[in-house]
Amino acid sequence: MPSLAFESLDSTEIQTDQCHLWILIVRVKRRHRLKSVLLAMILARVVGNIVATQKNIRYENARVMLCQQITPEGEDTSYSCLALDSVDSGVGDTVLIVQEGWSASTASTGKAGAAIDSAIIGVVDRIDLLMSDTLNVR
Amino acid sequence: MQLARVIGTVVATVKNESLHGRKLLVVQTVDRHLKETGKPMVAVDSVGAGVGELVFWCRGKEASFPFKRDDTPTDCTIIGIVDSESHVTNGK
Amino acid sequence: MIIARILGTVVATQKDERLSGKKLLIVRPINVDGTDTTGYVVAVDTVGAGFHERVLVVAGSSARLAQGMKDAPVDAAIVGVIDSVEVNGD
Repeated sequence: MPSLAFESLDSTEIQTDQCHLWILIVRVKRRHRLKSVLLAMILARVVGNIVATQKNIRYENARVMLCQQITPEGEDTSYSCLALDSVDSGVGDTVLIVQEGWSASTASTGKAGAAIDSAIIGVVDRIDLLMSDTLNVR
Repeated sequence: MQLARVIGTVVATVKNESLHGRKLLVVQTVDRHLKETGKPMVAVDSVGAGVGELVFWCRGKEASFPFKRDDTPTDCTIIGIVDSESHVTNGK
Repeated sequence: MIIARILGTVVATQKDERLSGKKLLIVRPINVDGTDTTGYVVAVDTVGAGFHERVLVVAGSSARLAQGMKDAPVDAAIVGVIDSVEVNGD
């Protein structure tokens, strides 16, 4: 189907439903790209923590923090996630979150192979943005 | 990792051998205000969660790590049960 | 791998010790035509990139394979500074 649509792009007569298909493909691709962006290191604000007595054994003594992703300008985005703390962060701190398994596991428990997919690896002191005033986040 | 509410169970007799004996639950991801977000999905349970409980889950390759031999084919596993909703502090 | 443009820097004193001495930059992914997309990522600089430059960012566990990133907890690394992008012969 995509190859059909591709051929018809060269002709002047493009069926409307094929146009829709293309829009769909572009949208799907865009969503994938956004998703891959979302799952890299992000800035977030710690908004709370959760208490769980019954949890995976590798989470012993770990603090599970509730984090809200922020834009570099400091505004909230719609994405919130949980992350294990490895740097003694607290509620209100702006933090750096790594969202890759090996890194998150070694940072928060010291060993690889735990079922941990995100960890707080830094407390942000300052964000300097190009062409705008320095934002003090603390 | 994300918070989620367990909203149901899945029963599958015929499944991959390495999933035998594993409990499959339907979870609805919730945001930090415990409001539903996104579509429900199926997660493998590793802690003994039940319907109605607030849990948190892990995605990706790491989701298979709680199980033996690291070969359980899952990309979404429940790894903890939140004690109660009041235990989700939300800085205001 | 994505093409991105540098938005700013992040300063964090209290961080994982394996990250000390590494420069953290905020980058925004851009389209091949140079227009911005939404969103951003924080990436570790491995090539000495500066402001106003277009860079190549590798994300995921492959970021750890970049020069000097061995065993560091990173999932996005700047691995190149882009001189030019050629699309469809333009």
